[in-house]
Amino acid sequence: MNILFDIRYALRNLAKAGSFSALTIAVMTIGLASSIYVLTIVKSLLFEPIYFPEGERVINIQRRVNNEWRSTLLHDYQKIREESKTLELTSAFDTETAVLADEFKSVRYSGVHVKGDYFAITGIDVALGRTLTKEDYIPGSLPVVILSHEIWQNHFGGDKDIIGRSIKINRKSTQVIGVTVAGVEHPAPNMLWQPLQQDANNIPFKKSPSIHFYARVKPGVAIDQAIKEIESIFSNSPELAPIPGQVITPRILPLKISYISGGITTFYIMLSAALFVLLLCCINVANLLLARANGRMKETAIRLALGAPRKKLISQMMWEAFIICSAGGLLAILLAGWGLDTTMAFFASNSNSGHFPKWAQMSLQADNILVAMLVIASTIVLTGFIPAIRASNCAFNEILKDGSKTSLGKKSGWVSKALVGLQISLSCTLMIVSGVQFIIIHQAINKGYGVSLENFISGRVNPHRDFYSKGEAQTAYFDRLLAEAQRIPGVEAATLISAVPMEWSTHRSIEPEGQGYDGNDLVRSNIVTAYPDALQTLGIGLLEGRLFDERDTSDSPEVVVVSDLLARMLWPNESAIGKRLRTYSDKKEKPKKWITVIGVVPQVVQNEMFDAEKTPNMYRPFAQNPRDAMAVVLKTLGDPALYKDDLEHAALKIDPNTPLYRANPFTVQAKQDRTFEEFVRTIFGLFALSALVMAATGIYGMMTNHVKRRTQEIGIKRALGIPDRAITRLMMHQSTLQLAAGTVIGVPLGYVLSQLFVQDLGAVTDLYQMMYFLVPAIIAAVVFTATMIPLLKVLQQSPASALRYE
Amino acid sequence: MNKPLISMESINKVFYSDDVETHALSNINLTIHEGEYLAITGPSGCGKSTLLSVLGLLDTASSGNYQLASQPSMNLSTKQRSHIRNKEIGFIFQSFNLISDMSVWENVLLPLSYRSDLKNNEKDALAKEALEQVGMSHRMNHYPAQLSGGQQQRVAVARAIAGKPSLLLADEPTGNLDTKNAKAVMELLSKLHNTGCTICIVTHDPNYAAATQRSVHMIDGQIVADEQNPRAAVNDFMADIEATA
Repeated sequence: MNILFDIRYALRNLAKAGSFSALTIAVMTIGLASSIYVLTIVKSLLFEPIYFPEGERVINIQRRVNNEWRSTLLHDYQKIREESKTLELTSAFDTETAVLADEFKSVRYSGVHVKGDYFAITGIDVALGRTLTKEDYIPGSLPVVILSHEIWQNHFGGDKDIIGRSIKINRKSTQVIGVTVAGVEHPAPNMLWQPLQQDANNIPFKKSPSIHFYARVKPGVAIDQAIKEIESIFSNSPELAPIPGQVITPRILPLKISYISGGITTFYIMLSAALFVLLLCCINVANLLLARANGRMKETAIRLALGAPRKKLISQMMWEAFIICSAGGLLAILLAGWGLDTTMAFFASNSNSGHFPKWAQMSLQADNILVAMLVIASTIVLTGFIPAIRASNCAFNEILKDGSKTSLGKKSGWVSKALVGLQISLSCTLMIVSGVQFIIIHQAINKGYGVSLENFISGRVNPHRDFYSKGEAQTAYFDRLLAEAQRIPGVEAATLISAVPMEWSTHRSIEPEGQGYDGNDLVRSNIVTAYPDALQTLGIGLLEGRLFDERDTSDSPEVVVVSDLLARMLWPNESAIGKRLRTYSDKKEKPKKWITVIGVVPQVVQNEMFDAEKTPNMYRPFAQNPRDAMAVVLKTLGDPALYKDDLEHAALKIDPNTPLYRANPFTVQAKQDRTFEEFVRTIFGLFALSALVMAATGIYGMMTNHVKRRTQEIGIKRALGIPDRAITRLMMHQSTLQLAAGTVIGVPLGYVLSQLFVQDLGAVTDLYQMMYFLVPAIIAAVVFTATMIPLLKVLQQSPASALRYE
Repeated sequence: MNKPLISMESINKVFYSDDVETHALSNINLTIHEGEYLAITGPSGCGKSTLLSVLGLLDTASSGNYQLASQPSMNLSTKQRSHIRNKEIGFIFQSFNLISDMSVWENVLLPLSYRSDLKNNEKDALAKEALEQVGMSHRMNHYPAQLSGGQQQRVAVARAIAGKPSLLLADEPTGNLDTKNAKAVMELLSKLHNTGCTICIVTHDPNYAAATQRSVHMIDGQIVADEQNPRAAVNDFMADIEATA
């Protein structure tokens, strides 16, 4: 007999115990799949560098003003580029609407205005023509553009003579100098690239444009070293911090991390929960294998009596764990791979572009599979080793003398009890943490955005400032668009607003009058520009004061409507009406004019779902705070999706060079907006469910084994006339002790961990607290059911057959 | 007389449980020579199975001196004891102790599978020979549950002798068998003895004890009698077996 025989024997035994094998493999599959799935996500997003050349050295440089994250400015870029010794490449870029229009069509794309070493950093190469040269950046030089392969194919039909051709971008003649290779996705697909000709030396700091700043650290230089250098550049450049008391520091992250910095905590919580599930699975399978080893103790005793070396016996016993974990692992890899594909498809289907970004691609590649194999190998050791060690340590002589399948002894009983206790604890903790997270997110999603989203559709327009300068021309354009939108049949109302609820809007620091300004700790508020009837149309009701009307013109005193949250933050226990506030820009030395509060409205979700209770909103009339880009909103009588074409047509009718973009019903936008939250909710729902399945199967398996082992004892007691009720009470008492030991640790731990993100995210109601009671109740029900079912089976036997039980 | 295979001097075995000391073996002095056929007899609880366990290195003595094949065996490691059990000692149990999930062939091959000094074909040959010796080679693909009690014990004997051990220990080998099967097993043991095997059996049946060369009688953990059986008794037993057959 050799290893092959051992494997064959283990396989035969597993096949004989079909339901046991199926259960343990299913348990391992759940545990391994969830951990491999989440590990791959976390590894792909947090630990793998961006796909750019030498991506591990590419960083994103942002600015912090008094420790608050702010947009990076062109002046920051230029200063660091000039002075840094640790950076190999630097690049600034920003995106802007780019309308490609001719006599046949007008399509809105995103244009990227780039400066510095953009193409070297991103690795974007051209298939036709050339990239940008120094001459292209000189102000006043011939406007040039590089098209993405996709725009070249789809917009220009793959015209082979495209290089050198003059096309109109935002009505300006621009020469095509290059076409990228296919599949370029930075910063998104379907882009076109132009030189950023602005030069910080020719622009006053207060007009410094916001940019994205990427850099590549020199080979051999640690990122920390670059951070220190850039910190030093900031601290030695007072011109970058014009307001006294301002402290400017860099916020530097590896590029990929910077894309998801807001979600890192969530990913780590997910990873912890997944590892919890895996640990729970391992304990579950170890428990089941221990029970199985217990049942096969006589075989182990015989082997030991026949001189089986302990090491060989352990390795033989590990084969079952190996097969269970390997089968579970193989299924888990397939399941995790499917899960990753489904996740990417889910995000793609809920995104505006219908596309999953290249930088976030997740797949089970060779190194991820290697990690998965390591996880599987660990589970083999975790699940198989304890039962094998315990079994190989048995008092084989006593077992052989008794001639019956006795237990592993007191020590093993304690191991088993400890494992059940641990299982109850972990199940409680995981179910509470996942359940609370699930409820909080579910409630936030269901709570909505503070307004009804039904029967609304919006699309954005961005009339180019070269043709619609702020003032009359711009206002005339928006007025015409509004009038045109109102004429669409079936439209109940139409309005314009800079950011519809749930949409990102600009935010500024706010200073209330009379409370002094020290540059620090000011409330940040979203600032939304609205047409006079916008708030009524959107259903944002008035709580106090008035909304905008014809009195609020560009010449009248400046006014603002604030949300009740902002009012409470700035003037607690006072009416906000008549109070004044002003906004601050980090770039300008002097604050803006005082603005008078004329109305208070309810707080609605403006940016992120969980930000609604943290960042308040304020609304400014368009006449006093015009914006280049606005959303035109239709309140429709029927299905808003049916109005999309009419809305787009209305915009083109006014100006074929200013097409509408991102036109979608509010409900669709909301679905896109909450994609991540829905994903996290689903994951934590699955974790909670997994924990319940683990708890149910593991505890049931162990309790069944425990009762079976005591079958003879129960038979003796019954033969001695002890009533069934007393036996039941005894068994329930022992189960209660185990339950108590498990919950005493698991519930408080679950409470503490869940409170971390209750405090971080906030909860809509206190409903989540029911988990602290529901989970122990469920676990108690599982424990008592798991005790009663096998016990009733034993009690249904005659005492004689229980006595004969082996 | 052949040279001693087993030599025990002042062997004691004490069990401790809940502050209670139980002296299972007290001052045991016993020598077994190579090729001897010995029976340990006595009433229930007298310590005969414990003595057999100590003899077979299934258990350790609390004190005393024990030499197996002239080698001190009191302070052996678990690994060394396993090795000796596997190579030098064959066990036959009252309840057969066959592994129900293994076929007859696999059961017989089981102790050989832990032998690193044998090649696979040698192991197969030894297992085959042992099964032929007990007349069970035609049932090698059966599982224990498909065999009668007598057949199971014959398989257990085959497993015990497959590795050609120096010592064969049998603990109540006929205890779970009817008379006919019991006699068949005893005949088998006698035949094995005739081939030169050293055998020590534990039995409470005086007839079977009389069929051996020497009877060691125990009471309360002590050897109270150690005598050679008359040759006539052995012959009578063998004749009886032959007549029954």
